[in-house]
Amino acid sequence: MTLSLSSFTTQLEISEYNPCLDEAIAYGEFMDGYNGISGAGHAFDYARTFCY
Amino acid sequence: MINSFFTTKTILKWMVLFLSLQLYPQNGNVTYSNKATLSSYYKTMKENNPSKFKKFEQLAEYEVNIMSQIDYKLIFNRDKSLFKAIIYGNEIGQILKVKQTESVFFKGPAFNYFYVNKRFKDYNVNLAPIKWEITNKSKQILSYVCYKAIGKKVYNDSTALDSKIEAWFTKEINAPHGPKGINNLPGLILEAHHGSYHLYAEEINLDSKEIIYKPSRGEVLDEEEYFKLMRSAVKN
Repeated sequence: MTLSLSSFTTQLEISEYNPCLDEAIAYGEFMDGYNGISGAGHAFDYARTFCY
Repeated sequence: MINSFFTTKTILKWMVLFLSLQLYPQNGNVTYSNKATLSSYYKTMKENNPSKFKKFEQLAEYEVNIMSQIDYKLIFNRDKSLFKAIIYGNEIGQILKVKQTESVFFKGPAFNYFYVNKRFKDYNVNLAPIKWEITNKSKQILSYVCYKAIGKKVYNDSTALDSKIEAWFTKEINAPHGPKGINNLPGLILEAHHGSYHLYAEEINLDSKEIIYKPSRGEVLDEEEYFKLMRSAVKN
């Protein structure tokens, strides 16, 4: 059996995947503009509270 | 007779000096700036999956911008140290103050952990030990001669956590402390690079009277458990 480099890349991507940051993006898109804060600002706020 | 008097006087002088060093260990504080870069999570995504990164690009850039504006302070004595963000009166300061989502690192002879409040819960996270290799490379930082050391965090489980650390320490300040839980070198760390953090000492004060307090208590986790938890979805 041979293992190609792409097998390792896929494994790395899966182990690094952070669903919490997907949630942060979705939250940012939903809250974009609220209180004068951009979507990225709200996403950052979510990520700081829940994801790191 | 005269010789023995001078010998006794010299011994006494050295004893007084030794005792004074024992009683008054070096206390001080260091202010660090952070020249933040993209985290390894975003870097990997940018390289391996550029179309997905497009979605995260704004958040990633926002994060780098905010993180670069936060300064940090290390308060230390011979045995203990505390490392935390400096809360200014600006908007970022207010967010950090209200949310308390920035970690507070606490090190002593028998412990090395950080306190953080995440997902509305307090945690005390025990840091993985760092295996150091000291090199011959040296440079001056704020007039102190510093040596380069390469460290690797020793995790029980091999994960995708970023474990490589570069630190520059000075033997001229005899305190095994440093920023962000990076420590245990034979001198104070004045520059450190770990993941997206690139911390540079901006000011050193060796006459600090600040009290090193213990951070709040929380659920005890080790570093791997904590990062695993933070990488899980909230909405389960």
